[in-house]
Amino acid sequence: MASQPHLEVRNLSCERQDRCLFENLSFIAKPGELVRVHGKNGSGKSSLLKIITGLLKPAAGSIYWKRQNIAELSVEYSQALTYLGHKPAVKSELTVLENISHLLSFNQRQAELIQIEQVLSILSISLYEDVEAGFLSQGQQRRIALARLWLEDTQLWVLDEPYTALDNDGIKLVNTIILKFLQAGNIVILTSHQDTDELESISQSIWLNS
Amino acid sequence: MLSALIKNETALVFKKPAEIFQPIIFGLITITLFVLAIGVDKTILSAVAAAVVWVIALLAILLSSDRLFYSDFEDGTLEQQQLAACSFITIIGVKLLVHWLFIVLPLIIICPIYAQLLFLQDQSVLTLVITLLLGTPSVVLFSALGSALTLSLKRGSLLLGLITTPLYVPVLIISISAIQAAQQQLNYSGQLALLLAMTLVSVLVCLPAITAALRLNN
Repeated sequence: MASQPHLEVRNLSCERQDRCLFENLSFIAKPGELVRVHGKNGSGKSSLLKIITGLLKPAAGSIYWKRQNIAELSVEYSQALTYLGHKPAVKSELTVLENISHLLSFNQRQAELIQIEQVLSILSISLYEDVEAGFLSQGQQRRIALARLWLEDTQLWVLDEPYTALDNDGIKLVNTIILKFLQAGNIVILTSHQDTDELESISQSIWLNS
Repeated sequence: MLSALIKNETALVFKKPAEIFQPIIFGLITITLFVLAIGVDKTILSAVAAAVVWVIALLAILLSSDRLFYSDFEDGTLEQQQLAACSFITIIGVKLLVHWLFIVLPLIIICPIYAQLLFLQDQSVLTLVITLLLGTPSVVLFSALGSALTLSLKRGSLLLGLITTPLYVPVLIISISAIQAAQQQLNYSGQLALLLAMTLVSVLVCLPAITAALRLNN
């Protein structure tokens, strides 16, 4: 993936249940930029992120990835994108390791076992690698989902409330990996109710009011 | 890439072995009750045997596909599958293939025993198995379509039955007519060709429809 990441949101409008959530939203994210989406509950933050990933269709407007409409990109865009939603996509009946290989298989990625174990120890869940995820706490399950940030080789992260259920150490870990990812010239878009000073200074803010 | 998908889906099915045995047990219970109600009357039982086994297969598939996509929807896996680099339709296709292999195929393997319990004529047993092998893939696809359409409904089971049973009817009629032809020692290759055609067409039509229906739930 040689070309520089570039994301443009142009005149985006979103409607859900016949209610207009936002209209004419535009912004551009350049390499190394972090976009934070602010807004009250129900203001359309998650919907905006889903539209950016392509999961939802906007009422009007379009998204451009590397100056091409994402509606025409599909596979190329999927390969460049990591989306972490509200729901962590962690299966309670699979073990931690199985969960990670399950998540990676969708994106045709196979990480070396050593690499996965390294990431699990960074996330301090390596002790539980053969434990079924259903037995772990909310925060630990969240950490399984977060492991993808270390293992997937993408250029755009769309993170919906990545700090949910995490302790202070967990939040620091996420911030560190986000900073590292940005320094490599990639783009992050995230929503969060938590204020994190480390990221505040470098981010561009979008406010949604309904 | 495909092998990793198949491996992971299989691992998921084997985490719940009860689901593999459910159709077989369901069949055994139905046949036991049926025989108890009618009595061991060879002529009556052998006349209805093929139909009973086919109806068991249809209902077992309907029951097992009720919550086919539900846990994936609840835990967010469905979202990740839609964003997957190896295309949503491939992932759903693999999921349904694994579902057929481990939930439906065991029932088909065991159904000659069920046919024996109902005194089906020996020469019809092979025809029964062949019609099941050719017909059930399309039944699984129809059920998955119903399951995808009723995913977001709290009590979708009733609606699922209403949507899918009309689609089952042609498969059932053609299969039974093949078995009847076999009983009369007539040629039934036409019926088998029809069944195969239905399965192939339903792969082409249902798979895109299932993915479209699942995308509505975002």
